Amino acid sequence: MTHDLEQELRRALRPVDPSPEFSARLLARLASVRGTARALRRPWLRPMALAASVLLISGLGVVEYQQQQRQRAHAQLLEALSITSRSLDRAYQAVRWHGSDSGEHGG
Amino acid sequence: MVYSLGLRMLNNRAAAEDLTQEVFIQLHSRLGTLDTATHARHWLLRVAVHRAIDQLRRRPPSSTGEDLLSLVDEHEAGDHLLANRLRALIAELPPHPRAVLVLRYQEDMDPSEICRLLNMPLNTVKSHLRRALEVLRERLS
Repeated sequence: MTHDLEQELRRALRPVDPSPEFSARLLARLASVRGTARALRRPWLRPMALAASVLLISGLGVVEYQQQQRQRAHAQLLEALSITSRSLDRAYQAVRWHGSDSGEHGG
Repeated sequence: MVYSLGLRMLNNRAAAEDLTQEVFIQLHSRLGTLDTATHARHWLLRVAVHRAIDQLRRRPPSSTGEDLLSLVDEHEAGDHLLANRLRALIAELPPHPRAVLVLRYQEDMDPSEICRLLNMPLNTVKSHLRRALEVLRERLS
């Protein structure tokens, strides 16, 4: 009876394989864990990542600075044009005024 | 091996899959410390069985997980009904005797190997085994 029961237990507890889908999921999960661990194990990647970040931030700073400079130059040009326009206007009026004066005196 | 042990201990496919995944991820972080395949196998079984026992302790006794009939192996040879009945009876055993029985009859381990794996005195392993067989025999008759 003991022998029979033990035989039946071996049969009932026969090892079962997981589904192929689960095995595939597990392998993918292990591969992703391995990838993360490998990245963490490469300490030389950290200064490189830091240097890349610094370069990126500096690059963005330079672009912004250049944009500000361009905007300032544009504003200065507009101001200069406005001053020039006002000066020309004044000169034109002065010329006209003097012109009308000489006409009156000469006529 | 790990999945099968989880399934027989927890009687729930999803729980057995979670346990297998956790154990293999833990194994991955310990690969450097396991020098032989025998060592790795021993480590896997020990971690899997301890995790399964912990889960069973946390789980209320009423929640035995999946319906055991849904865990029937269609390719199983022999008496399906008896095998199902035995698995249902094993699922009613307390965690430690259940683990001893699964390691003895699924993994074909000697009581001395089981006592090393579970860190349990040899006499306790033998006693769990004897008592579990008695209970199964009584309930089957």
